[in-house]
Amino acid sequence: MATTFNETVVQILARLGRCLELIPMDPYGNEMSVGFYEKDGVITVWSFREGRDVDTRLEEIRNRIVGLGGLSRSRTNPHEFYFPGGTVYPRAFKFIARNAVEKSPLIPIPDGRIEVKDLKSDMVLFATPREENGTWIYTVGGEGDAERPQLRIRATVAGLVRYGEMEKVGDEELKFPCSSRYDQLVRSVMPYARNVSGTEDMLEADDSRGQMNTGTLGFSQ
Amino acid sequence: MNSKERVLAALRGDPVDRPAVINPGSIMTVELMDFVNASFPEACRDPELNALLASTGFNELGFDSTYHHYTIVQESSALGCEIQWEQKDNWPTVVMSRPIWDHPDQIKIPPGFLEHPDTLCVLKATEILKTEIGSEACIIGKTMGPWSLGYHTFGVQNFLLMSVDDPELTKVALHKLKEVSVMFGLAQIAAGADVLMFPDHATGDLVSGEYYKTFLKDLHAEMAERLPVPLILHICGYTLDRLDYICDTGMASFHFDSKNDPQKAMDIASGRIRLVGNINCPITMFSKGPDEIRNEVTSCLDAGVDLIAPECALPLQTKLENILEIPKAVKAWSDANPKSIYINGRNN
Repeated sequence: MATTFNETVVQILARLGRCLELIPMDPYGNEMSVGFYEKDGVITVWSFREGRDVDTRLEEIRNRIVGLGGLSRSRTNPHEFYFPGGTVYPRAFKFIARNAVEKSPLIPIPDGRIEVKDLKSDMVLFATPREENGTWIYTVGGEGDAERPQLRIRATVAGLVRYGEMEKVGDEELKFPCSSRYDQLVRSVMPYARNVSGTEDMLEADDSRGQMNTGTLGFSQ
Repeated sequence: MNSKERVLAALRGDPVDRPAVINPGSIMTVELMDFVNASFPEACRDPELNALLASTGFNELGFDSTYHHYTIVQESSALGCEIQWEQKDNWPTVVMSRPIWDHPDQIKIPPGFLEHPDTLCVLKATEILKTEIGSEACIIGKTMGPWSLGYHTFGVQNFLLMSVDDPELTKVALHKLKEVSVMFGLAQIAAGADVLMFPDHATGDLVSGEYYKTFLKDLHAEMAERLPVPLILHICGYTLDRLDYICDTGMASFHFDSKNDPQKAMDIASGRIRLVGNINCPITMFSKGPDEIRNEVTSCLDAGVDLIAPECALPLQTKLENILEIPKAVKAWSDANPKSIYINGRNN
């Protein structure tokens, strides 16, 4: 059993900072765990697994998450990146982290208009950015048939507040607290924002996996 | 005072240099599995991997103990139950929808129970840990109690119904199943376990305090006599309604859930048993941060909880910084309270 390691866990964490998000198994990286650690605004994608393949995969994840969130790459470290507006949004980050690790790296990073098909109507929901006195404001709208379109739009706005950590500046308008432009982040969060109950169920299921309690052990009736 | 001495002294109620931090439950996470390249489910079935992973609790996280019996399935697997071994990110479980027995007459410990790969894994890992770090770390083993084994082998619903319909028959089953607990416990002690965790899931949400008295109190007292190391009884859920009975069993300690207020538990225990716990796992450890964990540790220490530990097995996705905070918070509290009851000892 005797094994020595180059660095202790404590030393590694002191270097990486706080854990923003932990994905237990990377389906495209030999089921290694992938953690996203933040220190002084710099986020590192990291795995305690070692190897050249690991480094390559972590760089791939870094590149995908930068694309999915409209984030910025570090020039000096292939596993580092940051929010260009300076503020880290952990809740919104959760969704792009999951997608970057758990979805196929072959899926192209989406671009074009920020839009998503509504799940409860035939409407297409979209968000349009505009700049106003140095602040980027996103207006949520909808096209197509819906029984009560304003309700669907406002529900999506509420979802963006909840999961995107955005602030409402009007019934259909939002901004990020740092006032920056994050079109890709809004695009990534909108599919979750349009369906709060479904997203809550998904998050709850994720959280219960790996928990040992009377329920997961089968001792509850 | 090294870690092992600290834990054993704390379990006796003797003075310690600081409160002991133990894990009578798994504190392994997916990141630790990667750190030592020993992932579930293999690390539950291969003694070398099992011991290597367990050693990180002591070597990397700063706990005073090791705990390598991660699952609740090893004995039941050796008894013949079907096991769902799961993947790296989830716990192996007994498939309780397919019970192996439906009458106590059928209960039989298979010959070679201790040589079954899943019991043997625990025993060999115990030996490895004892050899490698056993002079410094407290090696905590585990043997499942008969009530838990009843759930596994009869199915939860069937076992509970039997306890209602025919209490005497249920007692017969428990008395047969307790021999599994004793056999496996003694084997682990021989292999080097310093302490045994004794989970018996008469949980608050399934059975009452009176049920505990009727079915388990005397039986647990018998276990405390027959297994010659300190035992840590573990029952999940609300247990203040049975703590008074538990205190009379002679068990060295009780590992209690965060559903129980530490001060109320200490008041009931009143020095009759050591309490171990009770940092909340699903919320505090899993989804909060170091500040909240420090607060819970402090509440336990202020109440005088004898040994500090997570209430149960940690979720496998727990962040490492949260686990590290437990021993850190204990040390900080200890430094700030140099004349605490821990330093003076319970017996003085």
